[in-house]
Amino acid sequence: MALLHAPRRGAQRMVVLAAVLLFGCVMLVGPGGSGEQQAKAAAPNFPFACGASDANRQTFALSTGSGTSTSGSITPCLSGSELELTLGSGSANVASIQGMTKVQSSAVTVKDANGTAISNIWHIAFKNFTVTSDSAGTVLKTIAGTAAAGSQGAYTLTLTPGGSPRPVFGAGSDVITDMWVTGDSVVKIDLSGWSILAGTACGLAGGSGPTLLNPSTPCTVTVANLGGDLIALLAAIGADTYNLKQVDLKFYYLVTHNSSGGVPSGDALQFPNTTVAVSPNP
Amino acid sequence: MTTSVATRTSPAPEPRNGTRWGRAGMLATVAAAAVVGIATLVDQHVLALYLDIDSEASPASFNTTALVGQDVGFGMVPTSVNGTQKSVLRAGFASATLDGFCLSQTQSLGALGSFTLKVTAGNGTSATDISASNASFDLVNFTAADAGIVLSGQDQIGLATSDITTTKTGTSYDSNPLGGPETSYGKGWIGIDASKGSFTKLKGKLYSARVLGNISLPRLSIKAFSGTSGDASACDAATTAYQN
Repeated sequence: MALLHAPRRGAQRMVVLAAVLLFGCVMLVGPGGSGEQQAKAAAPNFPFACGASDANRQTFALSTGSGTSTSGSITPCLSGSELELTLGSGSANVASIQGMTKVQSSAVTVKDANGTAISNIWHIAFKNFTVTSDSAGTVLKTIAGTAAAGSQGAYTLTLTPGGSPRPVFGAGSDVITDMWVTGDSVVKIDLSGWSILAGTACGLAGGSGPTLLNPSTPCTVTVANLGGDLIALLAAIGADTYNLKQVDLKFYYLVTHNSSGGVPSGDALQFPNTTVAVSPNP
Repeated sequence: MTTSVATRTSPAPEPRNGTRWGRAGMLATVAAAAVVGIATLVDQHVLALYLDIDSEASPASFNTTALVGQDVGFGMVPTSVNGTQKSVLRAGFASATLDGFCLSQTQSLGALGSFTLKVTAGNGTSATDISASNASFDLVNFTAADAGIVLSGQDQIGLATSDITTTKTGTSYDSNPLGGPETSYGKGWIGIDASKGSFTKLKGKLYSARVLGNISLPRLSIKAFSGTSGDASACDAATTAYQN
């Protein structure tokens, strides 16, 4: 009997396994229905109640893409989680950006979903922030303010794009990107093309670094000190695009829109060759 | 009577080993018929799809050549996996089209070894062939190659998961369609919201896949393979071709 059964053991296992697994599969599916039938009735636009009487919803004016002017607004319910966008090491040009400007002249305080105030936040806006080097090492991740899942604790969400094509944070001719960032966020601008005027141009931007003798030193600007004069000067000479050597933007909210605050037509955010991972904090 | 005769004239029956072919075959036949029927109903947009992986250590793996979603949201949520609370990234789509889909999970069955259950769908052409509405996936991690992730229209990063909008009732967005936590109004659970999202050569691991609306899965195939290589390779394995 054993000899008769032995050659068929593999087949036996597969039949039993198939029977069990197939019944398991039956459990995977159930009666369907349209999403509309199963969804709750809701008010338009922002149906979730962000605090009692929606009181914790934050109102943000949106940049027109020209200086400090705004048009339209958006009212998100903020998670209160802080993100950080980093790229570059300061030694080589890794990105280009158009017209990065500080929309509001002073810091603002915003509130998260639970009504907690977050202070020293600055509103900046730009166009066509494009990574230009594979060596940029772009990373976007949460760095603070994430909630805990049971005993697992808080989490980190990380997006890591890489390779060519390269990330874009605001692509399309009608796309404007607004961010609300912390005052200690830093960008390092390449103003070496201004030669002996690099130091002066950097000063107009609110930064420091280049000198008469070392105009190629990156112009380091913290957002709290960011000035609009460099942007105005660049716009005046028809060259409002400049190169970045390093970016470290810590922010609570980012939104893409058009110059009137509506929905733009472009593929605004592009994360090519990207890995997205969730991990518990150590 | 029969028992009495057998006791008097025959030795005790030898313990029966091996497979009860009749029972297993009947079970397999019924199950296979049910799966064929279900596959037909899924293809005809009659049934929705639910999949929950209750193994913390063995999430299912998936891949698709392309996914294009309308009214897209990604939000962090807590979820229970086999009794353990975990943070996962829940991706929700009001509607989505895919170019092929492959989903697999490998289980170890002790002395029987490892087996891989694999679900594939797609019509074999390089174009979107699968459609689903009101779909969500609880993701552990994923990669999107080449063009990767492209978010179009008005995109937001930093809102609470509970504030993300995807599906609508009539012309109004539904409240909290991703089921984000509402304790403290969703504080600490971050989300990304986009008018449209395109994902190229997508693969990764997930704990849950749910399609509450209609779904069309042409050429749906559900097979079990022995082992973990060849046909049994996980769908997110680097050597696995994207399912068309």
